[in-house]
Amino acid sequence: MSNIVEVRQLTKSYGNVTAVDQVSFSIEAGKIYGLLGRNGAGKTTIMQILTAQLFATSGEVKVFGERPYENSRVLSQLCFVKESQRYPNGFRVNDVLALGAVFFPNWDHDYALSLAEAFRLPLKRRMKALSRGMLSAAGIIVGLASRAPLTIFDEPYLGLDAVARSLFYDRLLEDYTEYPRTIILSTHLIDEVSRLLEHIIVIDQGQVVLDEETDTLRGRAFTVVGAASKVDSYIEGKDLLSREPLGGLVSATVLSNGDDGSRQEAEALGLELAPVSLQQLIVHLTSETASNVARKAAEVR
Amino acid sequence: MSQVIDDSRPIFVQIAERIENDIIAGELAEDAQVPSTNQFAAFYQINPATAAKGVNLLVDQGILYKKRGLGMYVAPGARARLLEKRQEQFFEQYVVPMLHEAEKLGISAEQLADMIQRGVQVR
Amino acid sequence: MNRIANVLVMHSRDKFSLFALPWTIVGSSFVINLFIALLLGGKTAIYTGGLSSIYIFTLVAGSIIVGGTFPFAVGFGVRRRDYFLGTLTLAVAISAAWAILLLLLSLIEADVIKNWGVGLHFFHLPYFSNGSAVEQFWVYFVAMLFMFLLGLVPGSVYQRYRRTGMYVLFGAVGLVVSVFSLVSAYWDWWGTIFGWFARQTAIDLAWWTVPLIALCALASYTLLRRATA
Repeated sequence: MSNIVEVRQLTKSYGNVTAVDQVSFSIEAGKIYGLLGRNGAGKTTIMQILTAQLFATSGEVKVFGERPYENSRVLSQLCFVKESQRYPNGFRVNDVLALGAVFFPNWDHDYALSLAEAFRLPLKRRMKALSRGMLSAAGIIVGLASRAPLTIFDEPYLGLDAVARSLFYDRLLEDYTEYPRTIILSTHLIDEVSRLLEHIIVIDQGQVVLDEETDTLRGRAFTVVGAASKVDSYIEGKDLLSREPLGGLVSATVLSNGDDGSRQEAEALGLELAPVSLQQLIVHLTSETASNVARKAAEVR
Repeated sequence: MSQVIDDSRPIFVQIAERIENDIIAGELAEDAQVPSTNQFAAFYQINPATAAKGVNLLVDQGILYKKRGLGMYVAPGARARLLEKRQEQFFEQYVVPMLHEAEKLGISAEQLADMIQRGVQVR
Repeated sequence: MNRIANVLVMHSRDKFSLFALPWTIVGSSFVINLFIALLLGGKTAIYTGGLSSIYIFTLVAGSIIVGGTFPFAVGFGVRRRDYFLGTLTLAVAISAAWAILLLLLSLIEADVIKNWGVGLHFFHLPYFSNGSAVEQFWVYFVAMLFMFLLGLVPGSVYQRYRRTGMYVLFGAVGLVVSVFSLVSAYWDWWGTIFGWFARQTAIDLAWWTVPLIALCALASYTLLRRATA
């Protein structure tokens, strides 16, 4: 599997604000990746640099093995759906779809039209007159119909109701299965989307705090509850995600290294075990203050 | 629409478990065809690679076999093998926790045996 | 070449603003002036600057086209270079097309329907329309192209540097103009300047505008190369 995207020590600063801080990761071809993290974590900035819409302050970005800036070999194989996409005044939905056919070499117009029908997007309506949800649907349609070898969705569901979101997941999976490509999905809605993702990269405060296969991550975190003394001795030397006291009890969430050893140890101590969902895991990982982020990042790797 | 998938455990394991459950329950007979990876993915709204991992897990364990170009099928003797595995797991999953709980509640071994007798008679 | 053509396709999606609107504006001006000339009995010759409306329109169009289409184009994977060249091609094509239309109307006004039968000088103006058909086309074309590209500059400045850039641009222009005026007044250059201009025909001025057009194009491209959507 070759790497579609290679990012090395990417940094983006605005004055003395560092939005992206020495970020490094790779994206393998043909998988669905999730770029997760809180609002303002730096996900959008990273994606905009990948697609040559923003310029890096330092570091190296290679897409399809080349630098994306002013590179039509790279750009023609990309489709970036962002929630802040602006459309020229007066453009209607069918104008946007028609231009999709012009700018994306793999565009499937029949598919685009069938998607528009499925999402109930009126073709004659002006983009300016679309609701937030419809605007998102339009972006999703462009992203799917482009059939671009690397398709990036940046928070594509703003304003979409649950039915439309489910429709998106269905269509995404369906088309990905039939026309395999590399997809990067950024979101802060982890619950719904996580089962679509094969690999997860979590960004927090401009840094990578997690970069793993989704299923490897599931089940690694769990919560132990018990007497304070027992719990505190248990969590000694472990990756601690959170610790909450409740009267004489303590509830602590740990990140184990995947085998059953830690669980069995907890059970032997008589501690109560509770599962931790992926969403909870990532919430814990990203609620830290800045000084803890680097420590967390080093520990988890 | 998606069915209930537990987000706190590896999904591919859950896929494998569901197939195993269907085999044990008799819904999937020997040499019956199992839904394709893509069908699983679409049904549960999960990544196809995850579904494939679950199916392949069962292939590796000899529970399923692949017919080139046709799909996945239940291996002969799969049910028997699964029952054996589950019976072994029964001790760890049900008996041990039951003993722990009984100890916590001060239930003696004889009382436990009586309870089991009672339960068997009621069924 | 195909990529530049694609940018042209994008621009021409908005047929109304690009094609209908400018001619509606100049057309209305023409009709109004025609009506006034009619009311005045058609005896007096009326010279009107209504034609400038289409040139002003082009200046404005040039200044808003970047803000309107650049973010979209870049969002759809268009290279900045292709965007610029496509927009430049649009400018040249439209200027040429309008220049031909204006030439035709000028010739009709001058020779076919003398001043529209009511003494109205709208499309064929002294100084501006002096010269052969080819010379007229050249003047109309260069003037139109210059307006478009001149508009492109502030549009590109805004796209690259946003509001700060606009302040700097207009501040700088204001400063340069003020300083030049003061210096010219002090050293009494105005006489020489006006004298020089008076000696130029419209065709001469058109030639002098060409390097200015090139400068605007260069400035715009340099700005857009590092502009963000």
